[in-house]
Amino acid sequence: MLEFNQVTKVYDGTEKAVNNLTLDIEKGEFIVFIGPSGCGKTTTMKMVNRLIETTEGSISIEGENIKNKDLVELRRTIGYVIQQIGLFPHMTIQENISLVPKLLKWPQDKRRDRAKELLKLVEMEESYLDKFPEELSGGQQQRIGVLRALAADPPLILMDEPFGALDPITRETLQMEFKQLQKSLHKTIVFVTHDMDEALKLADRVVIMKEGCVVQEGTPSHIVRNPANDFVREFIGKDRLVQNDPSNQTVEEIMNPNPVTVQEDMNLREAIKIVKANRVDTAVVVNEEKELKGFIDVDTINRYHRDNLEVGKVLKEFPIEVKKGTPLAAVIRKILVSEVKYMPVIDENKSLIGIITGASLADVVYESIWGEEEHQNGENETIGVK
Amino acid sequence: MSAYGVLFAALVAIPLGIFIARYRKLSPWVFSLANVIQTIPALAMLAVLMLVMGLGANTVVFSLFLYSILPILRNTYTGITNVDHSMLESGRGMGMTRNQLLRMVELPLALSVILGGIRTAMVIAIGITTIGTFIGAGGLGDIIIRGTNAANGAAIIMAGAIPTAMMAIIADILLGGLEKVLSTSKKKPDVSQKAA
Repeated sequence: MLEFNQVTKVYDGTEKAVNNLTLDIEKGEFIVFIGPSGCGKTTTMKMVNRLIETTEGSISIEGENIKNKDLVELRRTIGYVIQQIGLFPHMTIQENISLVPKLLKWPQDKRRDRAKELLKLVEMEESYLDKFPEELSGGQQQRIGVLRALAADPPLILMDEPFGALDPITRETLQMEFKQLQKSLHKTIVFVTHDMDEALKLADRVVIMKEGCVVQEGTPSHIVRNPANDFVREFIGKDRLVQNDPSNQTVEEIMNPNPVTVQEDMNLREAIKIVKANRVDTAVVVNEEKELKGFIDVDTINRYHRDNLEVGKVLKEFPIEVKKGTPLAAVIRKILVSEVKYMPVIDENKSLIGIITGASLADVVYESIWGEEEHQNGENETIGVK
Repeated sequence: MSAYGVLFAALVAIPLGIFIARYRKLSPWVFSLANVIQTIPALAMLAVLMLVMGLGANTVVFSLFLYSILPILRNTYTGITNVDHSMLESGRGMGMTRNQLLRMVELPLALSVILGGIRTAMVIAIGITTIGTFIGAGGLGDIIIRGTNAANGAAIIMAGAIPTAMMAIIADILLGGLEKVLSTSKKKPDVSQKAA
């Protein structure tokens, strides 16, 4: 329905507001562009109705390049809602709603009927038709703003932070109303916002932008589960990220990536120093290539500390090792069944990449109950209980 | 007489104001020219115009025209440039042509401010018209001059001055009323005041 093909917008010759954006939008899809201010989301949207012209690349609607269309015709077939609402104060509500039909030279009766019909959609009474915008509340005004965009029944509607200027309660109401409306009318909607809650609530697909580029796109639940990078993670905000679903998690996500290790060829006295310095009861033994060999614990130390042996001679082997990428669910069961305290995580070369401890499992449980905030204070909780 | 001068001025100044509101780079030039005209004392203006156009009412009308340009021009410009940016954007976004935008959005919204300019011009014009008597244009100025020439003319002066003042006040009130009726953007009534 709407295609962006390598679209670039350059302001003042140097600054790239939008950089090589390619995106396909399906018919009936609700797309939300989101990002911090200056990320190019509004520019991207305004290029669709050519309030801003593209510098490079093309945008097409139903396969037709918008540059080949008459500017005025193009805009009359695209609904447009802005944050400042922009109702005309010298026109009645009816005149405001039926402005585009008027531009399209619909007869008067038809325009009035259409305005009535639209008011019904948002459950406002007909008596509003002859009122002026200033007699309406902010929320009502923006409802009219939305109706105005719908008036000529355009297949595509652009919305630039339409609910941004409203108070939180009104905003919420309008969001819900609008989502319902969109579902029943099957319009394609391009929506710009910087409010993540709004994006997640409304969108079929969220496009996260930063510095003119798309950082990540996907359904709200996909993005919340799999943020592409730290920027997205931070932008979504910790409390919205979904981490309470162990079935999707792998061992890497909960393991401690920096366990206390000792070298296989160290002598025990050195190893004890390390264990003591880190205040842990167990240390993982590896060789020079970081290949996993086993572990030493308080018991080992207690038994052999008088004989100055090499660590390699006294280590114990782990009863269970897990490969990276193993689903967490499987591991939890193993730990519960075998009653082992620690479980090293290794990669294909048998190199140690982390360790799962009782504490890691406890985190999983806590997170699923209270969210993420409390945990992560223990970089050096490392292997085992202090 | 006053009304003619203002009317002609409005016919020129309103389109000119719209024009410089669209091409804003021109506005300083146009405004300084209009300001220069405004600073010429009324008597001097009449005298100079009399040299070219001779005696009579036409000369007065023309000088009124010149004096009225600035207030009307300035208010038209202010009125149009003060139209909220979001109005223009939603207008354009809905597919209005440049002219439709002017006719359906900019002019209606600027109307009260433009009328404020006309009102100011009208009041100034009535004052200046009195001076027109010096170049034989007649009007209430004649009565005032006759009073100054008479031995004990205070009453005669009043007979000319009071109606003049009344005319100015009534014109001001009438136009002010019209302005209020047409002003739909009650949100910022101070714009016209400031501009006037």
